[in-house]
Amino acid sequence: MGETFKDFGQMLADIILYASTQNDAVNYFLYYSSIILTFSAAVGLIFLLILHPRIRKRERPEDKFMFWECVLVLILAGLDLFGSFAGFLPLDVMLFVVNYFSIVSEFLYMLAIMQWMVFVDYSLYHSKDHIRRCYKFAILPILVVMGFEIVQFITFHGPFEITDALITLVDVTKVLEIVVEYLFVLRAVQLVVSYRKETRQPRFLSLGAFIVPFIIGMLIRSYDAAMMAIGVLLTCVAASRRDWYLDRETNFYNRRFLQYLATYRDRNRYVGGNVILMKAPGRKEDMARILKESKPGGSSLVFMGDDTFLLLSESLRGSAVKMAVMVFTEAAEACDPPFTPAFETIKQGRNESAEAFVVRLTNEVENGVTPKGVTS
Amino acid sequence: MIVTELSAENIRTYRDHFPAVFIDEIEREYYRGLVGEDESTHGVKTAVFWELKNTEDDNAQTEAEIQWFFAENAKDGAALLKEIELVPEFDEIRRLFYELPDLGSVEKEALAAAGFSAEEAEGRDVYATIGELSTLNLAINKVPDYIKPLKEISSQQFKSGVMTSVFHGRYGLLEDLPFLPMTRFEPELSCCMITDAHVNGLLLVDRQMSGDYRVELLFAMQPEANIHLLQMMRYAVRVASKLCAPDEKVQFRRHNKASAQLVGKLFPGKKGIPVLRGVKKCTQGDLL
Repeated sequence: MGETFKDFGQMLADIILYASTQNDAVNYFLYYSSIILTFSAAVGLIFLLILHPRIRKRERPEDKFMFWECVLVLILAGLDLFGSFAGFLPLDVMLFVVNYFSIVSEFLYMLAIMQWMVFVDYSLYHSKDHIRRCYKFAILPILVVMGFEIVQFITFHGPFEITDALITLVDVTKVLEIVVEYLFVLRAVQLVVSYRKETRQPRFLSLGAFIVPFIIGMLIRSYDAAMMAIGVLLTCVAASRRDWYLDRETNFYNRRFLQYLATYRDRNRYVGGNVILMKAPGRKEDMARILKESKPGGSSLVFMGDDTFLLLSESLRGSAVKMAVMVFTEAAEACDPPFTPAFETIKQGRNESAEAFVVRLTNEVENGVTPKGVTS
Repeated sequence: MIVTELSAENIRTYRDHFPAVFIDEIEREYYRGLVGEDESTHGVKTAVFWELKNTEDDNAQTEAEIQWFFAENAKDGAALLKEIELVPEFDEIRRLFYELPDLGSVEKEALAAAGFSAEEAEGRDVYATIGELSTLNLAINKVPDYIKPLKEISSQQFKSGVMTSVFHGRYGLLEDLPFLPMTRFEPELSCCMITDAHVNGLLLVDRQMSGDYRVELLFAMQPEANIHLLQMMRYAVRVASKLCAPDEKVQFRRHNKASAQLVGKLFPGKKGIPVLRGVKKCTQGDLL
């Protein structure tokens, strides 16, 4: 029994360390299953790139991030598949090609994780300036590790003796790669945790969709490219849920989002909510533009249809409402031709659930209640 | 004694009797003032200014803070303080308080006679000179280019930044922040953070009647709000070092936990100035 456990443990260690196990059946299974998984995931990524409307058009920054993420992982998957079939090459050429591609693959692997982390950050805060500032030098650790890889490559394939120091360098490089990868993942987790503390807005991200496959790929290195691709696919699916709640014309949230938000807030027991209802009959485009340009940072806008918009806020003093009304009215009066939107504030009652508030709000909008104008 | 409620229309009549700053302050949304005149000579015998607080905050009781008080004699001063309770919006006020340095004995007696408590205490305001600020670590590093002085942004951008701040419930020391013009604040010392073409952070500094500068709003949006706050402070300290004399003072008011922690970190061990502090609780039964 002890021997069986020992053999099993050794096999697991071999799998994690990407070495051949003592068991041919396991080796064959890992080899062929990794090819099938990687191929399937690559096909999935190709379909995503061709068929997903947002990723295809790449109009929004998050769509661009996701596009490049898919391309990186697709190349990674392609290299992995090529490496799997490199057996037809002469042995010395095969070793050279496999080692060379492994450097490139490792580079792409770390780059893909970094790109995913950037995607998570942007999906939370939607700030391009922040991304530019924070991740200007994020590639440096990857380049340092790659430097080590290149030194190893040159040493292994050059006229140098393979010494213990070189073996140690190989081990150190592997550890550094894993550290860099985990640091990127931890950074993404930390971003989401901070976000949850700072704001009560829902997020349409699923970290688990990427992290779980990533960990599987780390444990079973034969699957790393496949799991990366699956992680990216699942992340994209999770993030795309947000598109269900967006109005295509204005890119504001739609009516469905109100219900989703109500459920989310009630589930998390968040209380307090206010809405500024704005009507701009016949001037939907102008009003949408004004709201995009002038909306308070971090607030959410909903387009209800019929030239009616909502500005959502957790708590709103009368003076804040007055200020918003004044700013939007000034902007509307500066348009050509000028117009005057109508405004009304609707407050969630102290003991009113978010669901009941949304029902009341929707009734007020649908029953064509004309906003009273500026509230005092 | 004739008691007159002060307003923007009549305040200049009495301008010789209180600091000039109140001529502007009386126009503010939550500032109020009363003056008591002698019935025969119409000489000003007493005057008081107060500011309403938390009027829109459903989670806090409405209060009024006495900002300035003068009395020639305790009897008239006490009578004027009691007149505050006759102002119509006093229905909403649950607490009337003061925290004032350098009060004269007449004013102290008047406050006591009007029913206020009194205790000598360490004030909430901490002062630091420009020279002291220049020696802080935060003055050392370079300021990024997304921090701009207030004078470089338009009124529209300023309003947008203020709107972002108030939509997040951040009013700083200014209950009426949405109503204040950009011109109120020091154009060079005050600064903003511009990211993604929007004003997403503000540091607003105002010069007090004493000549000291006061930080009235310090706000920045996430992500990395704390870093941006630090950058704005760095900017302000650098500019102050160039434009102001080293002995000029900056007032930091510890009005909430966050500001108290910040001041504690910047100036460990520094204490507030001695003040006389007191309160008078108000219930509807106290109304005359």
